[in-house]
Amino acid sequence: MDAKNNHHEPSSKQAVRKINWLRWIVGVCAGAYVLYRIIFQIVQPEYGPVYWLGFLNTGLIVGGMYSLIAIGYTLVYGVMLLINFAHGDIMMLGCFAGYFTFEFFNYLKVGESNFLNAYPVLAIILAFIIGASVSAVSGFYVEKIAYRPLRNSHVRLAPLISAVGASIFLETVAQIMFGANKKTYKNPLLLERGTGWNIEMGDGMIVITKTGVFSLIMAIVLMIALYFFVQKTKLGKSIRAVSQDKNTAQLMGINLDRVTSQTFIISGILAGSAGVMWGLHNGLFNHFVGFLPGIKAFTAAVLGGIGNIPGAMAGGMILGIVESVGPAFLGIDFQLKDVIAFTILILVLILKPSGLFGKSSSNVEKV
Amino acid sequence: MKTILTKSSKFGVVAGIILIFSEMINLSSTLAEILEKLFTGGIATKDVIIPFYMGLVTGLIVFFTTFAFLKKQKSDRKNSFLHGLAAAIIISLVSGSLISVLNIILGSYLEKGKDVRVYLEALSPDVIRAFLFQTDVRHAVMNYFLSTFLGSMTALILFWLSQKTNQPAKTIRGLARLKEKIQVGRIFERYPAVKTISILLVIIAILTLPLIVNAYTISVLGIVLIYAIMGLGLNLIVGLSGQLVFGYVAFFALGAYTFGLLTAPKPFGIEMNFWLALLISLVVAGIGGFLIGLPIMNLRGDYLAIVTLGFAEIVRILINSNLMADYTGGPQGIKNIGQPIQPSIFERYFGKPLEDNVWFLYLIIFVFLLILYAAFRLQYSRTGRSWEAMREDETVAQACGVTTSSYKVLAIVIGAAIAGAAGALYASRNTYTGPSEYAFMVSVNALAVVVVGGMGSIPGTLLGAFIIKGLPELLRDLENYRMVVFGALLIVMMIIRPEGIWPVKRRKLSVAPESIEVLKEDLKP
Amino acid sequence: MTKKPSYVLEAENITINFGGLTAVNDVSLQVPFESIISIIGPNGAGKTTFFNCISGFYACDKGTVFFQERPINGIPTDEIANLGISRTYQNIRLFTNMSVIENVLIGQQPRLRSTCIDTIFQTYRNRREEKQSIQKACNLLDFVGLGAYADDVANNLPYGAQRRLEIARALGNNPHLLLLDEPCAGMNPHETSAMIELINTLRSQLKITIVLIEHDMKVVMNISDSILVLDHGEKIAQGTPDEIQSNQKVIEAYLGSGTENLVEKYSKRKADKRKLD
Repeated sequence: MDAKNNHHEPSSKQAVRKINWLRWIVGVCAGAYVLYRIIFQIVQPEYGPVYWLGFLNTGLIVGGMYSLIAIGYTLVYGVMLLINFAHGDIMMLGCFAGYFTFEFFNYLKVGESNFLNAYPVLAIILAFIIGASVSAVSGFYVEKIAYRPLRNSHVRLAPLISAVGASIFLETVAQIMFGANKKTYKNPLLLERGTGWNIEMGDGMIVITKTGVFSLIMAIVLMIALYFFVQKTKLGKSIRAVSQDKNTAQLMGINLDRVTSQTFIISGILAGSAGVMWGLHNGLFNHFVGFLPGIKAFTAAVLGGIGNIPGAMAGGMILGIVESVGPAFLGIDFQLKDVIAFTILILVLILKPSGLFGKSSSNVEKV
Repeated sequence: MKTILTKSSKFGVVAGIILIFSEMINLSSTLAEILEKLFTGGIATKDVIIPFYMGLVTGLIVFFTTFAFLKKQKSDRKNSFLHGLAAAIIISLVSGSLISVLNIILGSYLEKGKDVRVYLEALSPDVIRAFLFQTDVRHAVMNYFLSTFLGSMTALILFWLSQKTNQPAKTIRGLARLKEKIQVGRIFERYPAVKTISILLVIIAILTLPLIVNAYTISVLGIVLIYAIMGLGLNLIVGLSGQLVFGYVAFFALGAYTFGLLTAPKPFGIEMNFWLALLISLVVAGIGGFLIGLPIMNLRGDYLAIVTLGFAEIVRILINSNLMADYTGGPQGIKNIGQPIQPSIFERYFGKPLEDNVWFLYLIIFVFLLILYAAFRLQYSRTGRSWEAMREDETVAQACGVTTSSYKVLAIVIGAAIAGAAGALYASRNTYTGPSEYAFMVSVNALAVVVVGGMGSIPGTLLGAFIIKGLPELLRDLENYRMVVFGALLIVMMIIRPEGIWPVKRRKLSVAPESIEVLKEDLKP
Repeated sequence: MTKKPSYVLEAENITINFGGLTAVNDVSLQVPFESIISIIGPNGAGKTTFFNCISGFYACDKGTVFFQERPINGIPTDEIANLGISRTYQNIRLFTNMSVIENVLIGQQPRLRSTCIDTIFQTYRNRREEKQSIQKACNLLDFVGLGAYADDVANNLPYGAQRRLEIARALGNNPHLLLLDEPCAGMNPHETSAMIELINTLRSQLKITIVLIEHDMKVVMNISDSILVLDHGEKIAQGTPDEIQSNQKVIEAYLGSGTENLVEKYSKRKADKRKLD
């Protein structure tokens, strides 16, 4: 065996070190480009400050919705170590539920006007409750049917493939049932789309829409509520315990099945609310509405460190802002804003796989 | 008795939900139409569905639910006929009333002249009329109860009969015994000549096939084979090395666009030779795989899934964007992509040149066989074994000396290159390539090909390609439900048969051992 | 190899911390050629952690590991396997869905040189190497007594056979040093004595140096040249089996303090036994 000759030679395949080099190169290149653009924007501004504020405004609103969806990914990942691929579609179902609720209230006659405009606050609250509960119920059943039987599967990829299956199933069923054409949300007059407060500033004007303000406030309220829920309640504590150590949590008397179901319900509630917000703010939607926000919210969850709830909130906000500021900042077509989001995903995974706020864990497995 | 009551009403609700669901997505009327065609021998279909078949579909759904219930009950304890009867009646009543409620609502809308298609697109007035058995609401409700009742009763009687005579069990046992008797594999082992001859026969059959089938079948076969090629590539990544790649379509698109740019008259006008262009697109897709594989080679599998999905979206958006429109043609795509020139040999032997599509099918078969050979070699070699070890237990594989990071990248590169070849063939076959052809669904189809056939199994992948791309072409009526079925199929396969329809078989490798002295010599460090 | 190094493995002042916990504290070990060294200690004493440090799963925080006078700190596990250290695992970790012989073939990975290009084109090198490695795998399986199971799926083997298969897999890369993590755990007396025999043959016939962790004292006292005792991450004793048996610190670690008279009893009983023999 001639192979023996290089038995004692130090091998050249030092993969780990290579990766670190790669990280440095990519990081320095990306950093340098961003720095170049910053200088470029200062020296030769293409847009006035008013535009930047406008982009920031859009970014915050979208970011709030991303955060809500991203929390769902993070919670489920913590409990099951699974990317809930159908999460975007669960949000889509919530969006549809809100749409039907508003349509129903629009037809419901109360005196002169209809229910929607007679009791707008009640209508909005009911729409959120219905949207959130439809999403919660579908999340519950998706887990029960598609994920639970696979928890101890010996095929490692099984839960993930099953998740893709669930996602496609929900999406295509919605397409067949409700049609592929885009639908428009019927907002109450109180929250009419596109109207709001115009703020004159220097050479331009920012429109702060009512729906935008409402969505942002709603998102922040939900996030705060969730944070206290996870920190203070018994269920929240058991969710945290399960994400720390599944086996020990079970030994402490935590029912894994129940905690998993409840996690899916909570993430469904957040996703459903995000879906209704999406409809109220953007108006147009169809069965495909959950796909892009789903992937982007996952990006946000990774950005904040997957499994980390405050990280997911911050990640969603950051992603929303970067995505809406990015095209103008980098001087590229607004068509390409999705490319920015996915590039961020790839860059984060190269540079800091544990996320911006995640603890860098050694990926050494106990043997 | 009480448990039977609650359990059977639960099953009744399930049956009712299935009925409502298939009515909402218009599946049951489509099924009824297919049954009608089947029984009437495909005679010109009228616009209206005969009520009998509608009832038949409803009855069948209830039939299967009741049968499942009775079977489950049987394993619990010995049940009497009366218990079964009560359960069957309850199931039929519950499911019947559920479906009736839906139809009363829909029927009243129809009578008021409202079109529910604004909200529920699948339910056009004709479809609702079909669901109402072409009569009014009152009769329809009666019909529903009748069909659910008949369905559950048939299930009960059949179940009772089968239990009394034990016929199905005998049949199944007989079939199993027959399968044991035949054992094709064992014959192959005993007589290697038989194996060679049968492989030759299969190859001859494949080679003569394009000459005898019609143009439509040729086009279906072409797409099936292209998907089989993609499946072989994805099988290396997902099935062998155990990494989930969702954005496989990105490499397919890379191959197709490279090929298009190299052979189309516009925008560059290179019009390169077919084979050279095929090779270059294979290499370009491989490089794409390398670039995407390199940064993520020591990440968990599910990150890879999302990253490749993001990469596929980037590729799709870029080829669609104005930024690249000068090269990729934007939404218009690239037209007039070159096709290979037919060598004159065929003309000499057959008297006339082959038809273009037949010739191209031969070409696809040729490339397919090449890739099949390569995939086969790779799987049963050191490389393939290392991939499989990595899939089984990455930590231990690395501790055994498998450089996991490079093997991961290697799998992605080879898989991507194969997808590039498939993309080039696809672009050349259509003489066109545009951004709309590279949606996420293509990745899902490729994944379904691998999963349904059996992860890691090459014959399984071929079978998967026929099931995923071939069957829907044959069952044109169910076209709309294809993706629904795929989604459900992915879940169901993972739950009941994760190893796929045609699971991989371990090869026999052992040889007679030598003496310990040889081993001593061998193991000298 | 001009000059033969004096030790196969030298671990100098190894310290490993997990957060605030010191799993291994300042442990040194020297392993001479063709010896069998056992590491014993109560549960949680840091034995497996020490093993993981040698085989590259963990990097040690302080100290150095020399393998044939070459420092191997922080080298990834695949390269350590390349150098000639193999190991088995406490809870058996086979490639369960692959066949027995394929498991052993994976073990030979560092010794194979054919690339995927060779494979696709079926070069002479690839065919020769494939044939040789399969032959070697069969020899190895025959050596550990699993020749008859070669084409079965690894998952279907009985427990004891799985332990043997792990050893066969570890032998695939011509190791200088074999680390066995509890090779006799969960075995009945009959299987245990067969395993002792196998380990002895490994040393006597194949000239392999072995370090093993074991709880079964019968095994440890039977086959070791030297024993290292760990407790709470600290080395409390090292010596020949006889020295360890009468070491007060070791007995305290296993049985708690206040057992001085136990030692006397034990040595007395041992003396009686010798007389009987």
